[in-house]
Amino acid sequence: MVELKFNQTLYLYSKFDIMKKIYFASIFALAGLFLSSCLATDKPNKSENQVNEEEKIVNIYTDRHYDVDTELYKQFEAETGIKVNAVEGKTQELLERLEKEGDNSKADIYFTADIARLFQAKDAGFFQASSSEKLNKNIPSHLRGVEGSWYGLTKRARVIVYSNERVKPEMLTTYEDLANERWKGKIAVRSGSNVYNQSLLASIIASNGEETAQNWAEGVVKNMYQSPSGNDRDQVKAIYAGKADLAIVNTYYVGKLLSSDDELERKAGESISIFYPNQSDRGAHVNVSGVGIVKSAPNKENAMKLIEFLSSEVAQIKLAEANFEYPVNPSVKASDMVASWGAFKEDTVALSKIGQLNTAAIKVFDRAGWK
Amino acid sequence: MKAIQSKYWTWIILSICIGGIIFIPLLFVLEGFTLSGSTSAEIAEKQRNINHLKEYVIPEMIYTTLRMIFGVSFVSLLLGVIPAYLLSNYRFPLSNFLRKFNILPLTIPTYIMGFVYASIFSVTGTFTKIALFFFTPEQIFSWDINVITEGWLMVFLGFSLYPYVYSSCLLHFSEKNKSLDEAASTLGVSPVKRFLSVSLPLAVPSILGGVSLVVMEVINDYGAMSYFNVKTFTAGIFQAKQMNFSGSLYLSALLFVVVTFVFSTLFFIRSIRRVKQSNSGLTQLKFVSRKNGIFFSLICFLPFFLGFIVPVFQLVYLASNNFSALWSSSILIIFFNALQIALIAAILIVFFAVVMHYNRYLNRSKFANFLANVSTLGYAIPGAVIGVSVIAFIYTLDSSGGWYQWTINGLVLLVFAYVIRFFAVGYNTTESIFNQVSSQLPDASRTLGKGALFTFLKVYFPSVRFGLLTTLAVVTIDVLKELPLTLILQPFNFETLATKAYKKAKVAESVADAAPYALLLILSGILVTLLFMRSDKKI
Repeated sequence: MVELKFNQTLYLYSKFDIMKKIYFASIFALAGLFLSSCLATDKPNKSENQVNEEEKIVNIYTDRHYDVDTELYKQFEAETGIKVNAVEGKTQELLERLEKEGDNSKADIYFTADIARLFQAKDAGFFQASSSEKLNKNIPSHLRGVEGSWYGLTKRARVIVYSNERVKPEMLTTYEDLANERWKGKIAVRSGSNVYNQSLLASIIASNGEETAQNWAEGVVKNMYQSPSGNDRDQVKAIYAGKADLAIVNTYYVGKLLSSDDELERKAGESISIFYPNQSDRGAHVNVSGVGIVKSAPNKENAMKLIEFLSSEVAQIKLAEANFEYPVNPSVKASDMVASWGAFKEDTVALSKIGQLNTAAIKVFDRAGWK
Repeated sequence: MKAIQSKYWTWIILSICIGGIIFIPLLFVLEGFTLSGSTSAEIAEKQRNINHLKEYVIPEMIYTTLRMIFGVSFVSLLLGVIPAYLLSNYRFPLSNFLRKFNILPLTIPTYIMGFVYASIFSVTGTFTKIALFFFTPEQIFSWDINVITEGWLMVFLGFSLYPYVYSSCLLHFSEKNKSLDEAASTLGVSPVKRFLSVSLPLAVPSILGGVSLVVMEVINDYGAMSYFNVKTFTAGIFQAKQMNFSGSLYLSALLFVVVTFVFSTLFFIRSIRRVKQSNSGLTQLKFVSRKNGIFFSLICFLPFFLGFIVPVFQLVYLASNNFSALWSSSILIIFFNALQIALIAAILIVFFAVVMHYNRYLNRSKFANFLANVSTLGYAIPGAVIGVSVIAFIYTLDSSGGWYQWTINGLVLLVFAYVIRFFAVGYNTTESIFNQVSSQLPDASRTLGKGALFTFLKVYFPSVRFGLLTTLAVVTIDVLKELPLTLILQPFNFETLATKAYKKAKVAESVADAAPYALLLILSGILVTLLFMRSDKKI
């Protein structure tokens, strides 16, 4: 069917001149490198076909790509001798892979950056129940699933940030207020296909019902300064450039801007302040990065050990600091910068509920025209 | 001549095996049209989700996909056709350099191109920094520059994809249009009118060939589309995945059917528009006046500048704080991982393509053509969809999962998926090489009683081997850039340059951390080009 690609390119390549000797030498060199790299390839899962609890490994599917995760895995390895193998992929693709693999999956842990995805995995029956006194102590109950089906490990709030120049914090109250006409053309927010927005909307549905949430979403769409695009950083920058006055962002992006190597990015971060909404009622919406133990986990005990390690004080400090998030472990203090944003009341609706309402939230966004 | 007309069953069977291996897994996409679910409530829920998609998502998604296809194609045509015409007809300052280097933007993945341009024109980006030397921040911000829009994304993707159009046009203009063009010239038709009324219409099949590649890349992109919030088919599939799995399979299946239909039509049109022309031999480049020469080189320099120089400089600038990331030992492992697997896939693809072509030569039948054509369908299907189909396929072969574990850990499954996706690239590149080989020599060899394999090894292969190395380079570059398939089918602890660059960009929501890896990816693309390019020896 397809007669295409590069019949043409041939012609171009043929025009590059190169001495024949260099050419062949390079081919041989490359072949050599190629062979040696074949021989040197790390084959971590060679012995994995025998399911064996004695084996000192734990396998993770993760959509988080933070360097700190890898550092912590190494530390865990050094402390326990259990090797951590990771497949770092995209959220939905990993879920699909889990689905297709079914009971044959070698994955022990699924680690993902939003409650909606954790719940999606749980709902699809990918996780197994578990219990651990340590985890029950380290993680507050609203940040973990019933029967230990999943555990939150880092926490972030999705908040309102406002222009220091043009907005007084007294003018702000709740998420619901963002639909008010007086913010017309003033709000910057990213796409409705973004899972952080979906979880925020799910929290509004959980609190006010779907119809009110629908009206809210429509109201916010009318107040946007432009059709949504870009990421959370871009929304803050829009305030810095004077295009918008308010933005809905995750707290850690503010930390990232403030600690950037780039002077202009720091200025953008300094031009705004964080406002925690709904402090007089349910509290600000929080979300977690978290893990669940896969149903068919061949190394369940090791998986449990790793999760316990990640919820321990040592690991929590590192996890929270690296990404300007809040530790879930109540005995660990937030980093200085995060602490400087002040304490706040958080929405303690069970996160499972938020996960459950994800599909409803997606549909509300579609109907409201929140692109 | 009897020997020539008889059937060569070994080659037919070999081709059927290859065609089957490549095409059958694609059919697993179609399982999306069936509604699976254990209870009637589940099925009803899935049906509701699909209805929601049909009402709110699919129509908009189709319009957006079409807009993007037309927009990016338009930009690619604008940047590709005229430089190709000028460079294949005239000699002017830098023309030799530009003729070669206008292909290089292909080494930059589309999502990197999108991120890089967004970072240049971001509020805190390079553009603002430069403008700050001359203006106050208030003035700059009052211009209200916003490039994270659908329209600009068309432009940026065009920067990265125009070489497809450029290269197909260059070959066409260099070799095909001389006789008619010269006739028109003798009749006193002005150069501009000659271009518009003679060269351009004749070039339509070649242009469509280039454009179809652009279209396929546009359909497959997800990274840039999601950052720019442009909801094409691929974004629709992603949303459906968030809602439930069967909805996404439904969309994938729909896409498969639509793509197959669109491309069959496109190639049918191409085949009837094709005008057979005799080659008028060597190309004579015309000299132009100094003033025109400078004007022409500017026109031809512009696409290269926008598609390669600007993004590479921005990446170097972004990476300048961050080059230390490259000094770790893991980068070498990643580099060789990527190269190794790309080469294995490319070698397989070239081998399969050669068998298919040789079979077409031996058994000149419609069936041989059909077999070759269905095998090239994978290029139009988004990588993530192929990835899932391949897993489904391997589980059908062995439901115990033993084969699956073995193939995914040994990278066999990943290579297999690359072969499915990029076979079209290898096949079509080799096609032009095989077309250049006259059938008289192999015919003679076989008439003299030599077998098909002997003829291939002694007569056919020597005349095509340099072209095959070029094909190897082209396919290797495509595999090196590949992202979605790699992400879904990677074994534990595996990285390529493309996945590393993507993850770095994703996690920080900024392209700065990804810059060193992106540069290395571009560099390896250039390296492969230089290593494998065909020597100048004519076939």
